[in-house]
Amino acid sequence: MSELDTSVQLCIFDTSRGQSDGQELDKILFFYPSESPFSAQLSLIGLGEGIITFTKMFSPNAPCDIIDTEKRSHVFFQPEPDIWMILVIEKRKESGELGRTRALQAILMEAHGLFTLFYGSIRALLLNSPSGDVARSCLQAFLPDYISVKRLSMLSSHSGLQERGTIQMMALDRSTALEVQSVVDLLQSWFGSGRIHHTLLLFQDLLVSTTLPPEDAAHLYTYARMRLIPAAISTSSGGHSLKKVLSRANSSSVHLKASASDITAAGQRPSPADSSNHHSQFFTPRPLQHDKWWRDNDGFLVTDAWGVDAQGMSAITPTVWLQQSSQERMKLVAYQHKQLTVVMLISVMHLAPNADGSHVLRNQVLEKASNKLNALEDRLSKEWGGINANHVPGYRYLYVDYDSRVSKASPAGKIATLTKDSLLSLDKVRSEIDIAKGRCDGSGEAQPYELETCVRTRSNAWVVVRIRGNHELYLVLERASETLLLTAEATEKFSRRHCDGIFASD
Amino acid sequence: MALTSSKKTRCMGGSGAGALSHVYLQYPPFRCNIPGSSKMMYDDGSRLLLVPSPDKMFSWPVARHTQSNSPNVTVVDNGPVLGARFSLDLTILAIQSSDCEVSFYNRESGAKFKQLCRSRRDRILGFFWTDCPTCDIVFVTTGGLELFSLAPRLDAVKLVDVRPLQVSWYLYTHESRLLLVASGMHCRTFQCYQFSAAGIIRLPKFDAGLKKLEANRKVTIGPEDVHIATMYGRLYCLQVDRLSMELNIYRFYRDAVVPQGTIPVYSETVAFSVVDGVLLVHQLASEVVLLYAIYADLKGPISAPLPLLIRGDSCFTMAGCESSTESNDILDNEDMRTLASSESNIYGENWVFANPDIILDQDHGIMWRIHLDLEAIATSSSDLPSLLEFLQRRRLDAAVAKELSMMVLCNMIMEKRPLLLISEAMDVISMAYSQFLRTRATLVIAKQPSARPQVPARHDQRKKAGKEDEKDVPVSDCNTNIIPECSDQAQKQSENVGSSKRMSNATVEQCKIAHEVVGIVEETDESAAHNKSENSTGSPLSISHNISLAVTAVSPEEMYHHVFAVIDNETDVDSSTLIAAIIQYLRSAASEKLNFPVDLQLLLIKLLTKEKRYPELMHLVRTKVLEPSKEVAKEMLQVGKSYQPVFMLGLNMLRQLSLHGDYLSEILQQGRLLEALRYARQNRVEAIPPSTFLELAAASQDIQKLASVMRFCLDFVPSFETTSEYQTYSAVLSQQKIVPA
Repeated sequence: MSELDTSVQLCIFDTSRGQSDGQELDKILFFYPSESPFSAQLSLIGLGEGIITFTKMFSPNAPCDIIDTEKRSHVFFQPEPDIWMILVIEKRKESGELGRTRALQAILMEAHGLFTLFYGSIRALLLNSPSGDVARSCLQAFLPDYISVKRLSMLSSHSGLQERGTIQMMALDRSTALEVQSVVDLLQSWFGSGRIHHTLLLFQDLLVSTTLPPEDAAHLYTYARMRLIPAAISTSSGGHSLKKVLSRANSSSVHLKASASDITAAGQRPSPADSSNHHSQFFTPRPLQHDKWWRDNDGFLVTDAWGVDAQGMSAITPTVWLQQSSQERMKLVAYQHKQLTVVMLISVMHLAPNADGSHVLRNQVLEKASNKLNALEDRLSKEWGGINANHVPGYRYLYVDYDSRVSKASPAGKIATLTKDSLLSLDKVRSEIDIAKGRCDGSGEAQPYELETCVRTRSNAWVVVRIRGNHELYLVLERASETLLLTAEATEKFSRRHCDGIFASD
Repeated sequence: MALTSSKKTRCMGGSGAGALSHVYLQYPPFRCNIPGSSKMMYDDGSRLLLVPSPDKMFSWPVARHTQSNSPNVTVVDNGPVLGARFSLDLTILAIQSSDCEVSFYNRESGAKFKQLCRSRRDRILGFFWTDCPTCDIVFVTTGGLELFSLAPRLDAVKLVDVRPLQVSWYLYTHESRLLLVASGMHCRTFQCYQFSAAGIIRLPKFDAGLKKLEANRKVTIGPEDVHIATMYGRLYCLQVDRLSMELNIYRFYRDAVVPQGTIPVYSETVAFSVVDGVLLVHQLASEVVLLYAIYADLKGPISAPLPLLIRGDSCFTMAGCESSTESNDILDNEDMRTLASSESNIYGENWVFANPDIILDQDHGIMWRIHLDLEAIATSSSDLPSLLEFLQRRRLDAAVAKELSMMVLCNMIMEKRPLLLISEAMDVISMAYSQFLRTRATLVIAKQPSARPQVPARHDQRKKAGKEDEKDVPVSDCNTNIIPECSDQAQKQSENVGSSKRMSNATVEQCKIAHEVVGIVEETDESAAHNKSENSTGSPLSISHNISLAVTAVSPEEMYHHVFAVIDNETDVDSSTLIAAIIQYLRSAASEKLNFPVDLQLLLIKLLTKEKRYPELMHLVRTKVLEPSKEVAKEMLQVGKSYQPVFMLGLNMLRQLSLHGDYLSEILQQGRLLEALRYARQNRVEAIPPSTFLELAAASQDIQKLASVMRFCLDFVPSFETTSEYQTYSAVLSQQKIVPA
């Protein structure tokens, strides 16, 4: 092997493991690239752990965010107690400075969020399988795929007008919103109360409606955008057949040495392999594997990323873990009509252990709901304002509502018209605000955090930030009026028209 | 009529109590004991019951429930009475005394005159008064139609026009203004004319539909086989095909007569009534009635075949007694209470079914009126959305229908019927209500040009304008009915007529349907009542109709009070079912652009909170399903105590609504003192005295905050230095050695 590409490294380790000498390798749960020599892995973890321990002396709750050196940045993120993620990114001359720390941490946060969506928390995996094999194989099955998707955004994250991990909603008028809600209710009512626990409706890459709590919704939405929406599914659906599924599954699966009985004995993590106990090998799904979702002829999305059933007759329905709502495992069934994607979550508990309830559901959806869903798609596509629907002339903006994890921003094409200087200035302002917010969070004050800032950049653009509790507004006004007063007025106007006046200045 | 009234009713006559029926005859019937009279006639034009005696003509206005006690008496010449009809304004009584002569009696002036038919060879088959502009009275003779108009002094008639035509027999109903003339050897060819406000319209000829042609070759069709029915403002021809036991239904259009299909009949002889738009097919042999709601398309009967029963209700009997005491000679007190067994003989031999819902029992001198038992229909119906549609279309007994509608909805939700069914039901309710709103709006528009000159003899033009407004909405919602057979050219033609009519009538909606139906050109009499000039002739029937128009539709407020709130008060109600039902209702209401009552919004918030479905609640607020209002905002603040983001949303809603006082008191409660001061200054809120702020600042134990508030007051409150608060708090501050200058 020639030179190893170390422009991006990611490691996950558990500080509670491998305490005694010679056991250090046990700490490591995941390392990317996996080919890296153990010495390099250990030295990175050693450095990380050392810094964490050191900074903990001063700030026990938030030890360390980043080590910035001339050549590299080490971004720290602690997703679960004692579990740390370190992302190392090589700085390259041409791309200049790296993005702000929070944006990089948000990538790690998103990766962890998606991971727990599919496998449950790392700690739970470690508890069920103390050897760490299950956790390692799951991380190994998931993160390389994730990194390959997100590599570019890691290297250049100058996206001050985007917020990772938030949902972009489709703007609906009242009667359409009710129509959507009504269809969702009908869907749920048709399949017995409680069978379909939650639904997530997307139009293109925009969320239309969901019954999930914000955090779970955000994770599932992120996944749907990456893999389920029409633009993301595999286009080679034409002659796709189950046999093909089978052959692909066999060739590309990641197998684990631990036996299925081991895992099910632990109880909390029944695997898709329950239904096929005679299988001696446990199949670790690769949810983010590229090109693994197809649209079936009947409009349902199928994937073999979760393997195929014992008889090899059909693909196993994916399952997800909800963190916020019920800590329950759910089967994920997705239906797609043109630009409309409906993700339905069915409680596993409500299904007979060996019957794949999704087949019944599929038939019922086709029979009863497809007309309604098709009509809804029609209506939504009429109402959809196009890719520039969110554009507000004269403004480049980002509005984030952390309560609902919803963000609204200028379309990417419009953000691209901003000068690099403006974006850099925004990034700087944002990282300073991140720090200020971090301090405020630590102080434990009950009152909502409020902030108003207006910054004039070198190229005479205005960067305006307004924060009201969990609502944040970032504006970049280029070629805007010259005075502060006029800028403030423009901000007020924007707030009134597009944010229900939340950011009004008193 | 209260909902419970039919529960109180007791079954009379041959059938035992508790027997089921969907239609019933209202006891007590109207009775006339005129000595020497042998015949009862119902004049549907003037809506009078006419009973001739040798030298007098007794007449009673026919109303829905109440019976007028003393008849009007018109003195006439002694002689046979083959037919009699009052003119539409009730001034002139016309009596056909022979095959070729009609006598006229002016009730007001006492003038008498006669009119012979034009040709000696022809026989007069009958005659009728009309309100069409070209003539006043039409004689139907074996040789055709003779059109006459009244002389200005109402002392003679003048022949206006003649339409030669071979006539075997004819049918006419004033309700439809439609004349159907049968001709041909076996009377199978029908020619129809409509004597409408727009003039006389001649409809295309059509032949009776007979299936088994070979066997039917020699069958002659008689007037008893054909019926003109007006249902929901549309005109139909019903024709019995006795051999194949079928009823052919034709609908009249301006340019066509279109077969609508057939329904089976189960009796050799059938009779028809139309009650409130519902077709009743009396299967005389088996003595049962089948009900059909012919509206959008031909469906099966809306209920199982059940007999026709006589029902009375005690209060009606009593009222009948009281009123009858004054007219002992006509109405026998004793007879009011009970019916002789022969009289209660349903479908007696001499029953005459008069249009639309009157039955005359010639043998016993009794007039019955048929009523629908909505409650019985409602309880026996299983297709609930169709049932609701049926109930919402009731014009008579609207209050009962409305109450039943709401009851049906309540039960649907409580019994957890499939949501799709509930959804369809909500659509029916919302659509009916928005139609009602539109109708009301059109009525207001139609009433505006009421300053038109009064034309005493021809007051009908205006009447029509109003009439159509009232009826055209129920018709307009079934645009699906446009018949493909209508040629384009014909459509255009009718559109032209429609548009000219629109101009003259200045109504809003009728254009929509004007090109569709002939029946719309002329409407049922019952709908004519709201016009003032009609009041002289208007019977209680039409008035009650007009009132009832207002009450069938269920408003969003009523939906809240009588459906959702009722269910919410029940103990074991599944909140999520109720939420889903409310969402379905709101969806249907939104698509009809109805507003959502605040109470309903509050209930929805309450239920969602109970289920801890906060994200959905917030989504509903963001999409303005829950509209910003003070009540909603307050409720959100309340809910927000257990879920902070909802609180923020509620707070922001207060702010958006500029409810400064409420907003300030909320943020003061949160201790956001300085922000409150800024807000108060920005929005010039002066309701909150400085002392409130100062007290709060002092209570916070934050001396810096107190100083800030003092500073604020000194700067912005006029003559603050003179107040006692200044003294108090500056003392507090000076203790801390911070004294604002």
